[in-house]
Amino acid sequence: MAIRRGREAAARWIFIAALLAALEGVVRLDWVNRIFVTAPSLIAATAWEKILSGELPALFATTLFSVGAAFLLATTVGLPVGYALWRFPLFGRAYDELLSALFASPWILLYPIFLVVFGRGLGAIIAMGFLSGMIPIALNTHHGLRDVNPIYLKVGTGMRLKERQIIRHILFPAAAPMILSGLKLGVTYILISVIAVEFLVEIGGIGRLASKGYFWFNTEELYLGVAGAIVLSMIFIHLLGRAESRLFTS
Amino acid sequence: MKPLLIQTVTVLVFAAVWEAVAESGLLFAGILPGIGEILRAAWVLASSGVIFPHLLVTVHEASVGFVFAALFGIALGLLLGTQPFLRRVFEPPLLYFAATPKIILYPIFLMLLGAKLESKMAMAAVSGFFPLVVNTTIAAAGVNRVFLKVARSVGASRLQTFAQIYLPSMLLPVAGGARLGIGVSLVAAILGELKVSNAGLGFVIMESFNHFRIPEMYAGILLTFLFAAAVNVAMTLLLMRCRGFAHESAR
Amino acid sequence: MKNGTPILEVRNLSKEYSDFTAIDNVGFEVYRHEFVSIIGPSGCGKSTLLELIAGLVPRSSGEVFIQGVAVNNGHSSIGIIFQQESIFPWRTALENMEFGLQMQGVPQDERRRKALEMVELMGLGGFENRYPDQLSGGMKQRVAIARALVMEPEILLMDEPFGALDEQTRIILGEELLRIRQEIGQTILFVTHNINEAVQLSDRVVIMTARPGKVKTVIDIDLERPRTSAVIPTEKFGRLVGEVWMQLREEALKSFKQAAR
Repeated sequence: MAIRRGREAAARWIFIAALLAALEGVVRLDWVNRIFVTAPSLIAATAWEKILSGELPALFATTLFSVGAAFLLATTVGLPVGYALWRFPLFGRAYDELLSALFASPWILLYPIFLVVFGRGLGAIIAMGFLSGMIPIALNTHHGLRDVNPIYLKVGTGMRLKERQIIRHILFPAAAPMILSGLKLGVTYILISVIAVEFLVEIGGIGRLASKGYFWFNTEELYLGVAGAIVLSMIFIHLLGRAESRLFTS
Repeated sequence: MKPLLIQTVTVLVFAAVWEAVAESGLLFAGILPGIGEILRAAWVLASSGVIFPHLLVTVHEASVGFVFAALFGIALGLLLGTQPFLRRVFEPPLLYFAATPKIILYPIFLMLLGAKLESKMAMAAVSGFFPLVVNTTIAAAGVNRVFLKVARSVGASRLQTFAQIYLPSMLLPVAGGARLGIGVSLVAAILGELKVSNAGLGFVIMESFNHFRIPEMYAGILLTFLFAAAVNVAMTLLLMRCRGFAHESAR
Repeated sequence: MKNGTPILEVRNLSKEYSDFTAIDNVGFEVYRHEFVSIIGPSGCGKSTLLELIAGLVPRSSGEVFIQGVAVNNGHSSIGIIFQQESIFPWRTALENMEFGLQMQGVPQDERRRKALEMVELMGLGGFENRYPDQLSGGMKQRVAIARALVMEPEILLMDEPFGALDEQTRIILGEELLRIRQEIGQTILFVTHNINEAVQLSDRVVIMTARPGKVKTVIDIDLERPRTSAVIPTEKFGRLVGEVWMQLREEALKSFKQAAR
């Protein structure tokens, strides 16, 4: 099994390397206009330059700050909201539907409103991120608590545990996987909306770099911004997946 | 009925608070128009016909993009879903990529395809591609093994197996992916318009924003949401028809 | 009953996977009109054995003969029924029964006629135009049996076909199966882990060992034919169940320990 997985990982990396090499070759051979497409090596050189100058770390730090702030807010609000939805089932049903509908709607298109209300700055980005992260966190918390197998709760009642004990020792541990996957979903959506708004409005961190590069016809900067945003998202998602599987296998 | 009542009251309270804040002029003066004002602006946009050419542009971009998304998404999904090795190699990066903000690719499309419709079509294509490829892969790989054994035990050919087992098994999940994909393609096209464009629903919103015609901006967003919701409802109805068709397709 | 060439002959059949042996040198015969059960502890490879015979899984070594002719990748005269739900949800009961004939290019009206005959035989009248989601578990399994029987197989392989059903439905469907077998003289090879079921239905019971699966012994079930579930309370039935269990006991214990490792 391990050997097979190694073979697949090798195939994957070879494919990616081949793709980058092809891009490099096409650009070096001048088969495409360098205004439009640039070579991975040139992007890497630009990246190195911007790491040394501190620009790139600062951009990443800004993006991560926005994501972190939005996540903190989304969790602080989302978890209690989810708990309240479970605690008051009638409201739970009503608001679950409303929140689901909002979540399924193209809320990202609301960002001009956030710009108008919060101004053209990190405030708007964090508010957008908060909205996009809070809803899945609240919904998953609600669903996790609601869908706990009633047998577990009966075990607690049968042992004459107090309600507080049941909530602390049965309800929350049983709902934990769902709640955590809500947090994971929340971070993912926050990251997406933060980067998207950074790009669309040209403020903040790594998303701004791509936008800036486009408007100043700085092709390396543009591609660095795009690659940076994608790599950052992938690392994030990878780490979240790892964290989740670590939590549930130990 | 009770949840519906709560929902209605909530929406009404929200509207009332909005209206009160707007009327008082204490908070957000000038940037939070009253509901009446927004609806009036929406009525002007719709009744004067100003919005319709833009709607057509957006629909054009989204649908061309979606056709590409569907072609490539379903083809690749079929390949990955039926070839376990390829699936294990390519599915993880595909899933990672599916969770990144695709709008970040937009400047590349702008570079390569220009600021007109084509760059939005590319946005719509790339964004709509992921739900389709993911759903198709899962659907093809998830075809009930026992069904395939039944087909083999009566000596069905590859073509027969595809037509009689894969196709009916995959119809619903792929249609579900298509429903998601159309929504995503539409939003992607509009997002592209919001950034750089000279026509489309996103352009209408951004033009009003840039000229500080705030009620018109809200109206544009409202109409865009209504349109997206209408598309979603239409697709859901179509999917339900599809469910009926999945039953009858073998007749 | 054991006369002439056997319908099915299995000789030295083995199946090895990279890390274990599932089936080890299995051999037995099934004669025309016979009902033979294979019983063994869980994980002994009973289902693998059936799929090897049906040619759904490639074998490592050994031979399978249908009426004296060696077959490799299955044969149209072998029908197979699975434990899991296997009727297609997008086809009505009748369309499900027509499936195999349709694949073989049998014209519409002929396959419909044959399927309708099967509706009659299986007691599915009134249900033939329903979709699977409108049928109970027992009804669905009847449709699956009908779908295989329509092909008029020389031998019908059944892999715990009633395993997912409740005990009472299982006994009733077993009785049904015996009636149908009586009517059309179907030869059946039946896999189960249920001792009562094996004794209730079979002429002979092949007992398998824990993994790797070998034939341990074969017990003749000399209960009267035609048979109904009324044999269950008889003393002879109880004695045969006991006999099968005594053969199985040691193997079941072994398999239990294997699973615990």
